[in-house]
Amino acid sequence: MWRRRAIWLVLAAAACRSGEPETGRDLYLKACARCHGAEGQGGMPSKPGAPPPRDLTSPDWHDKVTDDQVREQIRHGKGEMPAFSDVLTDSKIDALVVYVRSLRKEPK
Amino acid sequence: MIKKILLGVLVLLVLAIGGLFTYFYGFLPKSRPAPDVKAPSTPEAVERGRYLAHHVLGCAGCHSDIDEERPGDHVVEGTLLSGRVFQVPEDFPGTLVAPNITPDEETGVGKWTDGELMRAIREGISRDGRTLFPQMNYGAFQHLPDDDVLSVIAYLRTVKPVTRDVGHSEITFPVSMFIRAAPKPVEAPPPALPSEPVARGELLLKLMGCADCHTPLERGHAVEGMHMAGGFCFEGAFGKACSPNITSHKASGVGSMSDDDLMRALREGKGKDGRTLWVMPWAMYAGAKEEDLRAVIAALRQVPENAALAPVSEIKADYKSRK
Repeated sequence: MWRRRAIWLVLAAAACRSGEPETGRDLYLKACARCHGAEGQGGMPSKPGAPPPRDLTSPDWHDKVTDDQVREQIRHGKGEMPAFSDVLTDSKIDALVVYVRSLRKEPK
Repeated sequence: MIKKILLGVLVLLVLAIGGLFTYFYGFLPKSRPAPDVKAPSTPEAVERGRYLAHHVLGCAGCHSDIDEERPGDHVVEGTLLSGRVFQVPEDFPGTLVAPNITPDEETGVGKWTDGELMRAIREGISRDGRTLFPQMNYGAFQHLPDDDVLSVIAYLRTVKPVTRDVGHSEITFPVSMFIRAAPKPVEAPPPALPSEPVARGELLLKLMGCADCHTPLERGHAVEGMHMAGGFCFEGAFGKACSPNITSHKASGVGSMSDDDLMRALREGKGKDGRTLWVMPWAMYAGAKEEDLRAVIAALRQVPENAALAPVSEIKADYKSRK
């Protein structure tokens, strides 16, 4: 909100930019974490009764979907999830699929 | 021959610099005498002013100390509107201070007339004629109707005086010269805030300064084509908080988020994934009227799409659950 922040960040913004190639995790944090959480734990429903953003750590879900289905869902969206085809290239989506698979957590 | 050319260039350079100085120091800032006005003292006006100062215009957020250990911009008790000295980057041109605007006569604005306050808020000119650094959002406040500005002043007159000398900003040359171009007299009384939601929301977005954090800057100017596309990162004890893309783009912005999602972010400081939002001053918006926040959301739906993915916030583990 406040303009002070704009001033703080004249310098700080530079620190946010990086020349390093983006990993699957980088892409996940930028494109997915806002709804699915930094650890893939899922999110909050858009309205009462609506399904929340999926828990990407769920083994049940991982067992149920194929990589191609995950890829297609990222590319074209599904339900409340938007399509990312105009934001992410196919190779980035491939990297994301690999990272999303790594979020799986087995019950203790 | 070469000597003549060099001499000519030198003369032109001197004339250009002289012209620049004459313009900035002879003709700027554009200002007028403080208007002869009187703020009302009715409870309704004071309450309207309190509402605007706390929940819309951000007066309390800048002119008070903020608890940096908590998310949401909570005011430190006892410092309400008594000023704040900002921590600025090493290469910031000078010092940055939001002055004490309590009614204290020595260190606050107790001796200012209502007209002087009105001019400072909307036109960026201090009581002594100084140009206020445009961190003070007078570029947007110039659209505030007379009644609303006077209500804010009415409220400021009721605040508990705090004797606290924080001084005022000292900006160094040449920035001190260039900011003289920022003030602009209010030529005609601005109309009342629109009642139509999108128009009202568009004005509220300006008054609340949303674009200041949600639009990236380069060399002090908003990056063209990146309006509201996020990407500013703020560092503090909490870690790093980056402003998100809040354009209407469905994937990168907030286009696929529901009104409830956005209302939760504005009022409760909760992201779609349930995380607590840092730097975002949601503690102040929590008290904003439903109709005003709905208008802000309606206006956000109209912000042109931008597909840029904003950088990621990295909040330290022991700060994540703070309230």
